[in-house]
Amino acid sequence: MNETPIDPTMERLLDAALTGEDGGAISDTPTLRSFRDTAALATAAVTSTTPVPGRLFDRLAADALRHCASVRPRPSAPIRQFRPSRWPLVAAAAAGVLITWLVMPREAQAIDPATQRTALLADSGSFHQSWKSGPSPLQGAVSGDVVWNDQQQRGVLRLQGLPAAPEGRQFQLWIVDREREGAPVDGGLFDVSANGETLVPVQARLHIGKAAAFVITVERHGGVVVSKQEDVVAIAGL
Amino acid sequence: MPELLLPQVAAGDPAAVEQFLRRHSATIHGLARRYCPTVEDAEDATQEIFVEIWRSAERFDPAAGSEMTFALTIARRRLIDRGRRLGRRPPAELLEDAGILPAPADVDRSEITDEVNRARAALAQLRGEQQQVLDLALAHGQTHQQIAAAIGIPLGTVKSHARRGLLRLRELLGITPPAEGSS
Repeated sequence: MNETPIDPTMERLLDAALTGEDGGAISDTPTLRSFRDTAALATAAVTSTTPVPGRLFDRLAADALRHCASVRPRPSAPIRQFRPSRWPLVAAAAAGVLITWLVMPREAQAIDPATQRTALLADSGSFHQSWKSGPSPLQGAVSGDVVWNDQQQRGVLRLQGLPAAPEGRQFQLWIVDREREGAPVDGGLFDVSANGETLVPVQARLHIGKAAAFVITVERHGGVVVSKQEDVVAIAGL
Repeated sequence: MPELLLPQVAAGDPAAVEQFLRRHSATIHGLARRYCPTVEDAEDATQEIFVEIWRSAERFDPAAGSEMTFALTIARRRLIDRGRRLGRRPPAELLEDAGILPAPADVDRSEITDEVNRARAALAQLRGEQQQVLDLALAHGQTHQQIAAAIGIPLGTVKSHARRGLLRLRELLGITPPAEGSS
């Protein structure tokens, strides 16, 4: 069958859209974009969906929260909930969590947080990340960092610029565990002084396999078992 | 047309990023599974893709295409780059599955939008060899050389099928480029 030859310029655009091998040498023209859009639609048509495993969804959700925290919130924007689907499933485990909490040794709390932080920072296996402000208007201008060690199951938050929580509310830490399905693990309640630096020992309620991110929310006084993540003030990790 | 989410994603709206993940993660993860040799690699690639989507969200122009094509364009480019960087090829067992079109039962129906159905209908109108080459190139990340070796036809013929298939598909889908230089 005789077919009309394709113009060489068009061939280059088609190849670039098909293989992604333009290497930046081909201008991003509307024609190239139209081929890329066509290729993307065809890709969707021939690709089978694959359910995302829970551990991956948690990683994606943590990245998503981090992205939200990196975007300066618009003052008039309503704060909306982030509700990973499996969070409600953890409610059934809540009793177990509380029991674990009650029987967990408290030696970590007895060590001076500054000393503990110095020791953790000296351990090359420790997770160490800076805080980024979350989308909550209660964030202030939070800075500082978190150091955590999976082996030791200990960690310390260093916080600056976080305003005191409103009356009747407290800050609560959540730990995103890469090896755990479901909701982030409760990392403990705390308050901050109005000014200056605050060091807070992490009080993980469950064993953390591999910490991926830390999230601070504002909750009602006494804390919650499962956060609705309505007021995320700081995120660290990944 | 589904509600646009990327403008809200660009503004850092947690509900929008969550909804975007729910809407597109299975498709993008499915594509990553096709391109990557291991489950772990596919998960890492999926994570990279979504991070790039969040970062690029503010560049999304609804007049230039849908959110799905925006996300899948990023996904394909990232998967191709990743494959080159790591010197990896898609798993052989998945290549053996490459057919003309995926079986409908293989797909989560809830994820199929009108847009995908339209693309499927258009693909079905292509010649069989064009469908096969596009499937291997797009859903499996195969180079023209790999496709030629896999299905035993000359490289020039593979290129011709791919180019003519994509051209015809653009026409069938009614994707018309605006005048060059207008954007």
